[in-house]
Amino acid sequence: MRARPGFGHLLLVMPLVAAAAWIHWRGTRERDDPAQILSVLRANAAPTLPAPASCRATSRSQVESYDRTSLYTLIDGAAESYLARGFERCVAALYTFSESGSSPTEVTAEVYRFATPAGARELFHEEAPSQGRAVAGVADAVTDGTVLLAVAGRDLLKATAVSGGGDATPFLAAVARAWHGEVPQ
Amino acid sequence: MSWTTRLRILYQTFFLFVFLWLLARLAASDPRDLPFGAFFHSDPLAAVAVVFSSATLPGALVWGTALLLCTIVFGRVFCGWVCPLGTLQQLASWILSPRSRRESLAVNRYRRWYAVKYYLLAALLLAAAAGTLQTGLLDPLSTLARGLASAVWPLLPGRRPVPGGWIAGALVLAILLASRWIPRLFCRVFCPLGALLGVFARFALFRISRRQEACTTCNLCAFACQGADEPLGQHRVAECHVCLNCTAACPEGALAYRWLATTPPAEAPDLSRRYLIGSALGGLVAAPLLQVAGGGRSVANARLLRPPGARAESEFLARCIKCSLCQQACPTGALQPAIGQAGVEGFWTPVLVPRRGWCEFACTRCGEVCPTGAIQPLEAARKTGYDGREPVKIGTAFVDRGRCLPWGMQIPCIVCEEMCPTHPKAVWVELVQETTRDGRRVALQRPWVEPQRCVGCGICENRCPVGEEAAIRVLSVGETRDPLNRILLPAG
Amino acid sequence: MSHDASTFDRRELLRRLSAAGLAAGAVAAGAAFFHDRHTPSSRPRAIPDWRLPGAAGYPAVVAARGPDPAANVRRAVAALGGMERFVRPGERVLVKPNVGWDRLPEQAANTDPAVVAELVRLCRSAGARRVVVTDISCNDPRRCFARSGIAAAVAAAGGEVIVSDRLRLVPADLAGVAQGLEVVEELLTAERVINVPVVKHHRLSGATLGMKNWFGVLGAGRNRLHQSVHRAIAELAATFRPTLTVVDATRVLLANGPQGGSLADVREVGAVAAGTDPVLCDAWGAVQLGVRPTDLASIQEAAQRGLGRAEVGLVQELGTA
Repeated sequence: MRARPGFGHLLLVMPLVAAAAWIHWRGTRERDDPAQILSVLRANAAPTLPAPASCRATSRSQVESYDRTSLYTLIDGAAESYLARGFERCVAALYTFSESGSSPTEVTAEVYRFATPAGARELFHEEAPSQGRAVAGVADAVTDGTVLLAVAGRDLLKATAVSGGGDATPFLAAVARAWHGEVPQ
Repeated sequence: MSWTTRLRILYQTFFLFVFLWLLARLAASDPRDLPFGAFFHSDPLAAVAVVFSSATLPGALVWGTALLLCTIVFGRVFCGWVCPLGTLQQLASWILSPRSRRESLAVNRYRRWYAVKYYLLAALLLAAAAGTLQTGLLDPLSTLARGLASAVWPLLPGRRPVPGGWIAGALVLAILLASRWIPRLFCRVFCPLGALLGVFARFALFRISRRQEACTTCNLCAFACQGADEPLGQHRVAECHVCLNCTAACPEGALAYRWLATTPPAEAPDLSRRYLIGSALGGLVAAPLLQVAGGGRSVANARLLRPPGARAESEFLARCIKCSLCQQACPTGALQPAIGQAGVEGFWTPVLVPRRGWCEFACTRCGEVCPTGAIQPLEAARKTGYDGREPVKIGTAFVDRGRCLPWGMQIPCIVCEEMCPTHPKAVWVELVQETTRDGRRVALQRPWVEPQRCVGCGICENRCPVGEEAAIRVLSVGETRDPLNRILLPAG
Repeated sequence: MSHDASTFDRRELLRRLSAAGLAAGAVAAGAAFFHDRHTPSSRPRAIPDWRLPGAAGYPAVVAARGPDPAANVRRAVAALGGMERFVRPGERVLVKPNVGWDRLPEQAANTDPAVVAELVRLCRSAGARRVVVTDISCNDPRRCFARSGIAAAVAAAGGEVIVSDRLRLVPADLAGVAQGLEVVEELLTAERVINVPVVKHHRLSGATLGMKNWFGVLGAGRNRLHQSVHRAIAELAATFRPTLTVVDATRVLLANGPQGGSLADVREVGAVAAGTDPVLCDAWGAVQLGVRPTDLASIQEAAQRGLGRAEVGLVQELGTA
């Protein structure tokens, strides 16, 4: 190594330049943002139904899942209009509310996921009961005491009281509130 | 100042700046994919020690072996041209203590006890072979990173102090101050990385050579020698930092850094066999003693929450080099250095403290930066369980009903349930109506924890309003990494 | 001290280069060898199947009654074809009695020592090279083996008792609820295994018989199995399939099991059953307790899984001696 500046010195500065360039290149890429990843994961995850305890139900049947090919086994001919609006998949279960002194009320609940929020909304407006009232505590929900419809994002909730008679609004609303509380933001 | 010296100072400045800058960027949660762990990936001491302790070389540490190959060719250029702690010591020495020529000569003499670093290396490597990795305590890169993470960054505005951080800062300060009396004392006497490089530098193909006929024995070469390797006498290539101050200083041009230069026959470090064997045995004996001094190795410690992706405790302790990169990478500041929770051998390994921060649900930063794989990198879909399998858990939350507002004090609160990130939530609430002492009716939502769903992230404990001993606390039981630290049967 | 710088002979050059080359080669080789190397030491061990192939025309389960437990064992095993059918000369046999509690034989909390000793004797006569008797007790094992009389009886019969710190536990390939638990290594290295439970009431599962006896070979974490005990029992029965099951009903614990303690809870029944159908053995044991096999969820689940039959009528009673 000579004491004067020479070609050797210049050559030795190259590794530093290379290191700086490499670091710079790495800096042009972004790391994945955990918050963004989480929202993507949540959006892609299957729709879920609330646990029975969250809606103060006594029990819930096994949750069944349906996709585009099996939807007709659940809703028969109506499947056409669902598929046309970008239906992807759905989950369904039966909630039983037994209170002492009265016959149990059963509520079927289905959550349908669509490709776009617009698709879910269209179906919401189409199937909302005509004499429906808003449901306290749940945005975008209507019920007429027997059927309840609610929409959030790409998901549509349909809850139907199938036995027990009378106004099942408190039970339907309980299911809707619990579902709404768990919908990923 | 010769151009060679200028070049070396350029290198040292560059690498010191890059080291500090990368750590600063990491602590600031810089979103760019910068190579935060680059220095540690090329740390040969970490590479060799992890091979000793866990019989495997994690992928990234291969660069450490590349640096060893470089040392075999060029000598200890890392020490003289790259090491940031070395650079800082030189700065400290220059600032703190201007010396006369005479003094410089005296302090840069080689001393017998400079061989202590080889004994330390032997002890540390044998302790690693016995299963406990402690090289990180003296590794210069880990030491400097720890000092920054625990003592310097917390001083910046908007940051909280790290408990026990003063210890790490004091160590760095002591190392720098020591240079006031003997320049680069740490490098010469204690640095195990320097010792490791010294062992391989004996094969160096490029080294300092002296032309006897040109030498006038003026001693100018020894005034600025950083490695105390006696360029005038028996040049100890194992101590030489290749700072090239000697070649620059020689007025006769008798010294040169040359390819295949001759050197005196004594190339190996000057070691006493007795001390070497003694220190090796000491390391072997110390290892089991360290392992029984508390910690979670044999029985899980309830409050020892490890980062998500951490290996089982004995494997974790065999890989953690205490670099504190994970602690700086954690965006919420949840990871803190363990002082006593992990026992003596776990000193300064990362532990998650929910009251300081929580584990963000889909965040995998700690595993991304860990250079040795003590914390394994995770995919976000795997960690959160959105890939269909069980999520990665670091513990389980338990409600302390005596302290909880709705359970024990008839005061409404819902914070833990609100914050719970799992879907469906692990913390769920039960609505009850109660009458208070003064006759009011109050509706309370009482939290319950569903242990199968809880991942132990700690956000519930972090946000609980009931003071430092929160009303919902995370314990390590249920953690994925330990199949015996469980309450529940496997799901399914 | 001084050295010549410029001239360099070829030998020195070669020595220097080869030393560096060797060092570099060693470093590179080490890196290549250790790179991402996985140590396979903690792979879970598979549980062997110790059953004999084929039924060979013998009854599945036989039961003998009489005042002498050792004689009952001999008669039952003889009716199954003799111990020679189950143990070949030179084999390593493991006998797994229930030695869970620090109790005397009269308290019926552990297997009767005479039954265990007789089995050891029969194995030795059949030519077994080594007969090991072990169990991971709930109380201090040395006290349990001593108090139950099993340690002395087995030693006299030529068997070997192995307990506590001499036992090694290894990770095992267990499915279902027992996943992740460790198993006694002695068991995995044995060539023949004889399960010798005692018939007892159990507060959680209703009864503890042969299938539940496998809890005793599991390590830490088995205390979680109680969360799903019937399923655990059935799964363990599906995993551990012994060569022979010998059910000790010399004395049965009718209440306050599995620990017992009071002699008032013990009934002298004086019977021993042996066979190759573990579910049928358990069903017979339940009947000795006065419990219907259909009332025990573990027996029902095991029968449903096809591990054996639960109809007690299939047991061949040899009568009283």
